[in-house]
Amino acid sequence: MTDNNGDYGTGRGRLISALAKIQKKHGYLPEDALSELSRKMGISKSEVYGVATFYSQFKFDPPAKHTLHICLGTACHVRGGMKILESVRKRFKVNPGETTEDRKFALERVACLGCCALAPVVVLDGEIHGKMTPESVDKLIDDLDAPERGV
Amino acid sequence: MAERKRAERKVEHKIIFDGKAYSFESGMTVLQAAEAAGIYIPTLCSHQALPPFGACRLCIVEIEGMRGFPASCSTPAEDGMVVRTNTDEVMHLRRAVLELILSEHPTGCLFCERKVGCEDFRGPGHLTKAGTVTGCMLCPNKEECELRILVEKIGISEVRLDSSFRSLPLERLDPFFDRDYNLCVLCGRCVRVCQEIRGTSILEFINRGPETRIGTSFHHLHLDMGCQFCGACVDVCPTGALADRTSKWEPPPQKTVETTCTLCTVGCSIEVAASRDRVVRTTPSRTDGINSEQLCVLGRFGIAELVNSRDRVTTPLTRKVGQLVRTSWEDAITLAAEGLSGFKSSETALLYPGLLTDEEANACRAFARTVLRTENYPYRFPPRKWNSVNASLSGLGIGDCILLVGADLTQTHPILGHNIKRAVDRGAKLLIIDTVPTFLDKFAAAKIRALPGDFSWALAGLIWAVVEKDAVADEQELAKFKELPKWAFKLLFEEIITHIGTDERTLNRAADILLEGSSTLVIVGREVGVENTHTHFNGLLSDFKSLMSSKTKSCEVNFARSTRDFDAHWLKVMQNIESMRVRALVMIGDLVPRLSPEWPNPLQDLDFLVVIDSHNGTYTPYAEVVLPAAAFTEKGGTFTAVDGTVHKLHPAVRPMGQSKPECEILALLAKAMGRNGDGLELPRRADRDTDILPRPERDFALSEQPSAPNLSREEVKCSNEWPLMLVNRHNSYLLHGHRLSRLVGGILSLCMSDFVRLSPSTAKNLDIRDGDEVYLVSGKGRGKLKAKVDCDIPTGLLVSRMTAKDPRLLALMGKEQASFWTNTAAVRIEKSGGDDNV
Repeated sequence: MTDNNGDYGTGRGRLISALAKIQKKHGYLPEDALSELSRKMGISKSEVYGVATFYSQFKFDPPAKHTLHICLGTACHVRGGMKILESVRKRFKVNPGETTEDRKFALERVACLGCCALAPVVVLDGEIHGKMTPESVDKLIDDLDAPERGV
Repeated sequence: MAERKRAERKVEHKIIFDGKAYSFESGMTVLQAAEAAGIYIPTLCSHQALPPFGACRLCIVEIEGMRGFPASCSTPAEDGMVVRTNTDEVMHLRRAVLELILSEHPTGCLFCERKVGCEDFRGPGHLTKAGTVTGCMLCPNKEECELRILVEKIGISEVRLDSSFRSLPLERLDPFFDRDYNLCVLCGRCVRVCQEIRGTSILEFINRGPETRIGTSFHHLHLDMGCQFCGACVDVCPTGALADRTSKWEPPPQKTVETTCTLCTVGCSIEVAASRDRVVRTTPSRTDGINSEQLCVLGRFGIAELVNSRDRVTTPLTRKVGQLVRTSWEDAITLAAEGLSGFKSSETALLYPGLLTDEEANACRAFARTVLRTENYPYRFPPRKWNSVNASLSGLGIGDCILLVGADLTQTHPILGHNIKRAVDRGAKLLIIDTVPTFLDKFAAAKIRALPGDFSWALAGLIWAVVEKDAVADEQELAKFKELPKWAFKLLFEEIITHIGTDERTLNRAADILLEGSSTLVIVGREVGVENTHTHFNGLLSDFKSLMSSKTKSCEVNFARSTRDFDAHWLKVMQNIESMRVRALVMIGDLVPRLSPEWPNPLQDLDFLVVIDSHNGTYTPYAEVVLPAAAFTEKGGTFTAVDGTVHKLHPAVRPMGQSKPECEILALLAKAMGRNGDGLELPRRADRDTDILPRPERDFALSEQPSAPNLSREEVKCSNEWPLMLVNRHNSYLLHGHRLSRLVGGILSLCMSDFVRLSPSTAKNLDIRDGDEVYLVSGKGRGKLKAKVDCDIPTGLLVSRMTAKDPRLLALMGKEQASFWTNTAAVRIEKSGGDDNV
């Protein structure tokens, strides 16, 4: 954990930016890093944890390898977003907001991505895909796994 | 005096509550002004010990000229303010707020149609089990529920909102208290007392919005978070969410008695709650004791379990055909008296512990002198009083420095440690010279690490840094010091720094802090112990004192004496016993260190042993006569604390079984031995004011180090073979020689006596993980402990907390070294250890 030691100083006001730095580095807030931070800043572990849990932006689990956001805004909902969600849910046995046990795949729902003309829309690892159907989403996901299967 | 001055300075102002004018003092909040005027405003999150928080919104009022409904607890009162506390609108809002609070709290006991009818059965003397079994009592809080009072005062008869039950699991894996956060109303008192008063910060609000609850980092156990189990959170909790386990199943107390805790020498005021002649619970006294409504784990949770222990001796026992059998007091006393009379006075001895009441200690001395006519007794006990310290430390604040030299007060004198933290809160500066990190570290302005044996070096470095700050310092000034020149000329400052491994900046900062302050209070702890450099240390300490006295207004030096300190005379008595010059011994408590089951019993060759004790101990099986003694909650008397103040003890319950206070037992024994026992039965009435304990002959001077047995300690050096330094600090959970971990359940998990703490880098080098079993091997022996990786431990150091009687400690250090308060040994760690003989 010595790598994220950057001098955070002792001012309590700098706690949140220090937490953000740790999350940026690891993708989440590992317990060891928070213990180290608590020691360096002279703020108790519980206080650090209390602040971190207050903000929903901070995560305490390692991020999944792939994240699929399914839009359920009005336009996407009307054009079958829900069907896509159901099929993904069945395939991976996860609910929105959850991650598969092997931490490979996370499913999230969003309200609107601002490109309703492309509805229904999904976002896979930050890339927007429009006019989707359950089948084309399946294929998108299969393509992700394909090179891995070869290995 | 100071109080009166403060009162004079306070200017009186007028405030109008509900149309009537009242006066208040400046600095009060609206709520405080209302309380002073006798006007009731309901509160939940507010607590007298805590600063205003303004979370529960029950104390809302209307104030003319202010928008909305301000919370009276966090609104400063102003001259001419017009406040309305009970308008329809305010009452309506309060009811709504309380309903919101209660929508997340089980309300079965608040709105039950049989509530009035069952009132009679909830009172003192009735077990709560019945209620719990019949299902109407979800909560351990009995008669003390603040929510019930609020419901009655605010006047609601139902909660119109859907109730939501959090379904959180009961948390009961920690010792001493259970946590049921389903009952929690999130007032935050526990969080605030833990952070702001105790400075522990174990509890915190976790999550946000409807998910908010009280918890610890990553939901760890309190034990793993470093909780001290002071119980402050339990005491401020208005609901049954936090409940101490010993009193959970007891009926509500029938009476409470104010007395003094005698489990250490600080002299905290406690309130003992008793029901049916049984101690149910102890809480900090609400009167202004030196502990200011705080206690340590032993005082808060230990006492009830200790005095109700199944290990109590309740009847006199005598040996008949090799077996200890119950007998009457008359028989036991006659037998003891006859037995003792058969020896020459020089063959007899009396041992007694240091934590007796003053009257008892006095009676012990009188018994030894006039009845046994022996010199074999620790005549200087109790060596409790320190040089000059006011245990509440209330006078310390801005401009004062506290220097702790090897004094882990949070362990040895917990409430004194807490009072130091409070002094730091008031602006005092804390400096610490110590080997291992202590709880007070986080409040220290500067910390200097010194290995055992290096405390003199650290002190010399500090003196040097202070002298160097002064530009006019010259050799003449240095010559004033008795000890320093020897060091100063021998060693350069750099050498000191290299030796103790601290950096110049730390020493300079410490010197700055010392010079900025107007007074310095030095507390020398037991960790300094009996060093090789012991004589140097005393000389340097006296140099430091004169130096600081000349630079600032005052400097006081105190030795953190403890009743377990060795005393030269005590050791002589022990030697007389071991060399069999003593053949008959009267022993109060379980004092002689029984070194290990395999080690010869130092008392086995005695011809006659009389044990006077409240609990069964290691030596009870060897006694000819065992006389049951009362516990301290069962007797009156006076108790001189560390600062010389005399505290009173009041009996809360009758002595258990047939036990009697020690004074009475000694008087009976004296009478039976044909001596006049009158002088011994010293007043049992606690209200006798005369101080019958002779004052200590003199306050000891610096030259008279308290723990000064004539033993030298071998120097411990690390080498390739033994690369690590093991530092063991005796665990302080002892009473009258009894290990409290045996008598009080939770202490065992708290005292960490099975663990050795090591730094992450040491652990990494040796590939040891948290919880691994490791073998420590020294030149003398080996011992198995569990590893605990701790970031605060410096690399190369191992820290353990074994008791003086621990066979592993004896194996690693040898008998002689193990008897010191701080023990060191050069060791190596082995991960699996050949033949496991420990």
